[in-house]
Amino acid sequence: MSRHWVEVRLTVPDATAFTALAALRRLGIDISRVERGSVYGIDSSGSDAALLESVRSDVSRFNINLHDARTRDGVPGEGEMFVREVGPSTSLRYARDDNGSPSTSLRYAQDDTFVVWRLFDEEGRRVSREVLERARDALLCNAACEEAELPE
Amino acid sequence: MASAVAGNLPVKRIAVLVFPGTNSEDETVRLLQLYGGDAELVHWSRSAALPQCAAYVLAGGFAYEDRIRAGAIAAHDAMMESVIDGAVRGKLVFGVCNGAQILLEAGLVPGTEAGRRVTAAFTKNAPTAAFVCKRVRLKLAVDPERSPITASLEAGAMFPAWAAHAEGRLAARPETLASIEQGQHVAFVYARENGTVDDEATPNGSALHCAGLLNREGNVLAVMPHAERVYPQGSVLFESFVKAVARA
Repeated sequence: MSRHWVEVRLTVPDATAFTALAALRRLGIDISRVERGSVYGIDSSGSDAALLESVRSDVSRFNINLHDARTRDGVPGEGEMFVREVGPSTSLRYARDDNGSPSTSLRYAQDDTFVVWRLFDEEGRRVSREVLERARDALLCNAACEEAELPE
Repeated sequence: MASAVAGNLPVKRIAVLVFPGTNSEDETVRLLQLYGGDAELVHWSRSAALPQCAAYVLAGGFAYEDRIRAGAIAAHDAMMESVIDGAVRGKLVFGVCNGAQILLEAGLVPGTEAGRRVTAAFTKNAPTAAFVCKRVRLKLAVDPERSPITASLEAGAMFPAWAAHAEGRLAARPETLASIEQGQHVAFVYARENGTVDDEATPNGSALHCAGLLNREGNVLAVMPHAERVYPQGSVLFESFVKAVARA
């Protein structure tokens, strides 16, 4: 059994990605295209083909009329950003430390589920880390409830 | 131009913003008018009309289909330029449900740091992220004079409202939560009928049992539950808002 990573993407036009593109351009970030997908970390001992088949049969994550699935790396590649939710460390269930300040220890068991954003520049190339950082800070990640992972 | 009277107070123009996907604008504008507010709907294509308005209300709904995060796209809509500019200059701004989410994504509340930074969110409910539709009770958690918008309420005022959201849990980094508490940014909390504030009264796992947040200056209020949907008990908050606009 080992950890495998699968990305599920829409095969139809992605309105959210298009909206993100428009909003990022309005915020002064020069990009020409945005792609979005869901990345799942899955423990599997079978082949990639068997893994993808199991994902495609999971109707909670996959609609054969709308989605495509492929295996991929578990870290963001060039021009990619992984965003995942954090919490509810910040919910009412937080504890308080010895100083009476809110303390966080509780997290959703969602460490292996991400939204992946892929950004492309005017020439169709994947954008630099600097552009990713700007997109992260301007729109794609709210640090109050999410965290982003960028390429090394 | 003053066009109506709430009590003996002059009333100024209130804009109820309509983004693509806003769906509570009609009842909101009618309620404001009922209390004597000179309220009008301003759609996203008419953002040029906003600077002349004295106050802004962001109604509930699903602006831009909640794409990326609830309120994230609307927070950067052209209409928000006038709202942000007005808020910085002291105009009153009141967001309900999706409107509250937009105000947080725009960094107008809680405003715990200098400048306009996004430091908190009304995000997915906990322990499950299910949509909550539940009658709740809100309790004023600050001195009414902390904000002009709450100034007409009694200390510790409680009133019913409808929680109708999947993303209403206040979330922030622990240090921000501490600032929110210390700075008296939590305007409203969820409470039981007897006034007890606890987990059971809180339908969404919200930090600090928070149902509504104020900015530092007290002129921007973001409330998740729909008080306008419980007339007349809950709508006292809107009455208080209209009076505040008249006084401003």
